Amino acid sequence: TILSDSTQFEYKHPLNTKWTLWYTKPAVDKSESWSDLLRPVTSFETVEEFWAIFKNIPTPIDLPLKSDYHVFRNDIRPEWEDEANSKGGKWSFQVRGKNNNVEELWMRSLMAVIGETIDEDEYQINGVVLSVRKGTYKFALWTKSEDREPLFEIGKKFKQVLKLNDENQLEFFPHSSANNKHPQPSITL
Amino acid sequence: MIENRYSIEELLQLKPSEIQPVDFDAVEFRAIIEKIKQVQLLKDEEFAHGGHFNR
Ligand SMILES: [Zn+2]
Ligand SMILES: [Zn+2]
Repeated sequence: TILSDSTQFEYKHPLNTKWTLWYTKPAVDKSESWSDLLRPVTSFETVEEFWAIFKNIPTPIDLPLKSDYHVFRNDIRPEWEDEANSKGGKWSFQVRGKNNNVEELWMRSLMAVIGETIDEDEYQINGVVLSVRKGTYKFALWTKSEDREPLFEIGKKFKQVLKLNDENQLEFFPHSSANNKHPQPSITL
Repeated sequence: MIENRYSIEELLQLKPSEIQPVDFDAVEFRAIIEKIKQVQLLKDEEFAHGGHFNR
């Protein structure tokens, strides 16, 4: 009977918005352009879907070099050219050396973003990125604006999520400087 | 307005212990990644041995 079929009534915990997981694959030959390499993997709207996805995909330390995971809100593309990103920037932090609990920090970053505990009451956060590079893992929290006031609050919370102390600096880079050869952070925290 | 907020602790409580099904091809996704790692490894080996060939 319908009543005994518990799965039919299983309650799922809704997230505030839809999120999409994107993956940037490293180029294996020179013919591949950026648009060939960046692809949406899947989307999710509930806590249950989030866990199902992240238990089914490789963790950061199992990714090849030059890979990125991006988790972005709604249909925002994880590129600074996207309208939603164009006036914003990113809070950025690098973990150097092997492992250093990268997996835990990545999961904590994801949970803080999709659980909306970094955002105050407006959608300031567009997405979160993990980049695997030689000898380092880069974490970046992408924001929709470069207004200093909300950014300080967001940066302070992101530092807690990444378990950073005073010696570890978080840096904010506006996307407007993304074309600079040596971009300088506009805020450090 | 943000209506659905979950702390890290709440999210961890909702984490299942078993692997759940997903509606995309996770097997293929993992296979692509393994393939890239193999290609990268081969390229590294070629590079490491490059000195011999260049001589
Ligand atoms: Zn609940
Ligand atoms: Zn040799």
